[in-house]
Amino acid sequence: MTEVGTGAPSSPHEDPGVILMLAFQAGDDAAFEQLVLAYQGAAFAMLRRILGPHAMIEDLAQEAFLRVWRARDRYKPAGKFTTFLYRITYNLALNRVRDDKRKALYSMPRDADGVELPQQDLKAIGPDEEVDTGSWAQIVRHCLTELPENQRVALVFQHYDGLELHEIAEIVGSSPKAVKSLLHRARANLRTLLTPYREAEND
Amino acid sequence: MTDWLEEILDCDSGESVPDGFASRVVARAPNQGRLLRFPRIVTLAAAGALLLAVGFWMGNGAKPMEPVLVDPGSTNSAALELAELYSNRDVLQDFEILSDADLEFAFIDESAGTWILDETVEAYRVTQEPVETEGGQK
Repeated sequence: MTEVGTGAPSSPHEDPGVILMLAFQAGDDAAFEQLVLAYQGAAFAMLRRILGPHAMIEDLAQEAFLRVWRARDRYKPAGKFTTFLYRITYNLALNRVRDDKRKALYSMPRDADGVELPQQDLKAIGPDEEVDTGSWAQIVRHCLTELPENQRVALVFQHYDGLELHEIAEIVGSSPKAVKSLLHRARANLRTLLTPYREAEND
Repeated sequence: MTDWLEEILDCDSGESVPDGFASRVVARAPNQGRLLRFPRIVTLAAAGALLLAVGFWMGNGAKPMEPVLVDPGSTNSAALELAELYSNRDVLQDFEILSDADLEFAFIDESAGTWILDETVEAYRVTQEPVETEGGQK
């Protein structure tokens, strides 16, 4: 099944994800698998951008969808399905961020087998080096992790997931006005972080 | 003119999903419980019943907790207790349960510290004695 986008339907009941979730709620277990297939990419992308390039995210993504499964009986379509899913996924990511902060300051990132990953020195591909488009994704992800968590989350939800201010506010438990301010600061900070790389490419 | 920031952000096209992810989720899902939604009155009634039961137990039916110590009249049990005390003498010292001098005297060897067990049992007995109040014994 192809993954769905995040365009805004006129009512929740026209949202593809809501339709699948209601079918699942009515007893169609196959609809749950379709939900996973449709939204797994969005969930993974969101977790990667919020938690950074080295975080192990499959367990969180699994847990997010398992929570959707467990919430079958009490689900009520109040908006797009992505808002519902992202709220669950965001809370899981937030818990992971807070857990990581409590760990040792100098612990090294590890791969899925627990082997320490070599530290990627972004200065090696920084302003003094030639930058190719293949590493811009790495640079963007690195710079996103340099943003304060709330700015990063707001920017990811708006730019990559196409969420409106009120939807982002609902997910993070804030107000649309506060989200708008976060987005403004996030973009200003990101420009500061990315400008040296951009200037190096233009040289 | 397109903002360069938005263009650069678009360079991050997303995250690849591990093969078989959906299958793994679907395989695990049936083992999950389901969040049941009880009417509020039911949960309140359950909480109230639980409180009543606990209150009754504490007021009327609670038995005093069994002491951890064994009957000091049993020499076999006393010997086991002493052995345990001896092996944990470092802990006793660290927690200042006994002073260095007490430990030095009591643990010359494993059999020298019988008075420690007596002291500990006596201390426990004191905690179990009824407390006198203004209106009489409790």
